[in-house]
Amino acid sequence: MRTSPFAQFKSLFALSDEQAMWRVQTQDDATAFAQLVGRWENPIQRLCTRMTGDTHRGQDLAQDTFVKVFAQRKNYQPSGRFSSYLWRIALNLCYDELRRIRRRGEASLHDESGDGFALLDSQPSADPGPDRLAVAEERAETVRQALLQLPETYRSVLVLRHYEDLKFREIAEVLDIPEGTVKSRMAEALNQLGRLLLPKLNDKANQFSRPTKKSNRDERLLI
Amino acid sequence: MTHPTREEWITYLYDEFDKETRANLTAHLHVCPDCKTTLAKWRGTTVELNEWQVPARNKSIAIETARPILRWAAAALIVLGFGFGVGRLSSTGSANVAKMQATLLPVLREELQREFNADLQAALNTERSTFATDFQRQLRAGFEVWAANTTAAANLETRRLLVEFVQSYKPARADDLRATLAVLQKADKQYRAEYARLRKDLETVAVVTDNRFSLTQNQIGQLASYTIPTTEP
Repeated sequence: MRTSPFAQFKSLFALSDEQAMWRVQTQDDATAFAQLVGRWENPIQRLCTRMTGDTHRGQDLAQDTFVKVFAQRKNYQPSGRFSSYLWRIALNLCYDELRRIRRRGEASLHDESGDGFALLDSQPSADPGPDRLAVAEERAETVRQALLQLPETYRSVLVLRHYEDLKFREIAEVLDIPEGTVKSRMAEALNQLGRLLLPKLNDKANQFSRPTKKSNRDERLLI
Repeated sequence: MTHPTREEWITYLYDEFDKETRANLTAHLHVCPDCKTTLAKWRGTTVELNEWQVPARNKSIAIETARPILRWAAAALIVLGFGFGVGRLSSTGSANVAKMQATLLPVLREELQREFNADLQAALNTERSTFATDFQRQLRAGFEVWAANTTAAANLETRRLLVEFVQSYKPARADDLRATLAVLQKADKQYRAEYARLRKDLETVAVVTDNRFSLTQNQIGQLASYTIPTTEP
C-alpha cells in the first residue's frame, strides 16, 4: 500500500495507533478513537467483506469491531501492536458470524444466482463498455465464490497476506500460530484456489470469446 | 536434486526473502521445471485474486464530495494567474524599476553593512566593561544566594539532627532516671527496715537495762538495811 509524501509527512506528527489507543483507554479520548476508526475502518471492512463474502455484512462487522474495541478498552493489553489486536477482534467476529450463518443454513454466501454482483466494485477501466464490465463482474464473482469455498483458516491467512499485505510474521502474531504454519496454510490455500478458479475462469473466457459461434450453433439447433 | 519447501516458495512468491536467498531460489527455478510450474500456477492464482476488489467507501465518498470544490479551486487559480500575468505585462514602469533596483541595491546594501558594523563595534567597546562588571555582580549575587541557601540548608540540617538527637536522648535519659529512682526507692526501703530493727533492739536493751536497774536498786536497799547480828557473849 503506497502512501503519498504528504501523508508520510503528516504521519510524523500524528499519534501512533498504540498512543491513540492508550488515550482511549486511559482518558476515554473520543478524538483519538475517531483517528483509529479513520485509519482502520476500510482495511477492517475489506477483511470482513472478504471473509463473509458480503459487503453489507462486512460493514456491519467492521462497525461491531470498533464497538467492541471501545467497549473493551479498559481490558486492552498494550503488549503487542494495536493492529494485531484489531485484526484478531475482527477475525473472531467474522468466525462468529460465519458460524451463525451456517447454523441458520443460509445459502446466500455460495449462491451462484448472480446476486453477488451487487457486492462487487470491479472497475477495470475509467469507462468500460457493458461487455467488459460484465466480464469483470463475472470474474470477480468467481473469485468471491472460490474464496468462500476455502476453509476459514486458509481464507483468513490468504486475505491478510494477499489483500491486506501483512507479512507472514505479522499474520502469525495475529493468529497466534507459528510462522511456518501460516506459510503452509497459504500454500495450501493457493493450491485449492487454483483448482477451484482456473477451470471456471477458462470456461468463462471461452464462453465470452466465442459468442457468435455459440449463437450460430444455437440458431442451427433451433432450426 | 533437493527442492525448496513450499513454505520457502510462498515466501519467495510474496518477496519476503533477503536478496541472497532469493537469488538462490531463482537459480533453482531455472533448472527445475516442477518448481517453476508450481510457482507459475500460484502466480496465476494471485493474479486472478486481484479481480475481486472491495470498495473503499470512505475514500471514494470523500473524493466525490471534494471533486466540485477542486474544480472551482482550479478555475479560481486559473483566473487569478491570468489576471496576475496581464497586470505584469501591462505595467509600464517595470523596466525603470529594474534599472533603479540594479543601481541602488548594491549601494544600499554596502551602506547598511557599514553602519551595522560600526554600531556593532561601538556597542562592543562601550559595553565590554559594563558587561564585565555586570557579570561580576551577577556572579557575586549568584554566589551569595547560593551561600545563603547552602547555609540555610546546613542550619536546617543541623537543627533537624539536633532535634533527632534530643528526641533520641530523651528516652535514654528517662530510662536512666527511672533506674535511679528504683535504686533509691530500694535503698530507702532497706534503710527503713534497718531503722525499725535498730529501734526494736534499742527498746529491748532499754527494757532489760531498766529491769537491771530496778533489781540493783532493790539489792542495794536490801544491802543497806542489812544489820549484822550481835553476838551474845
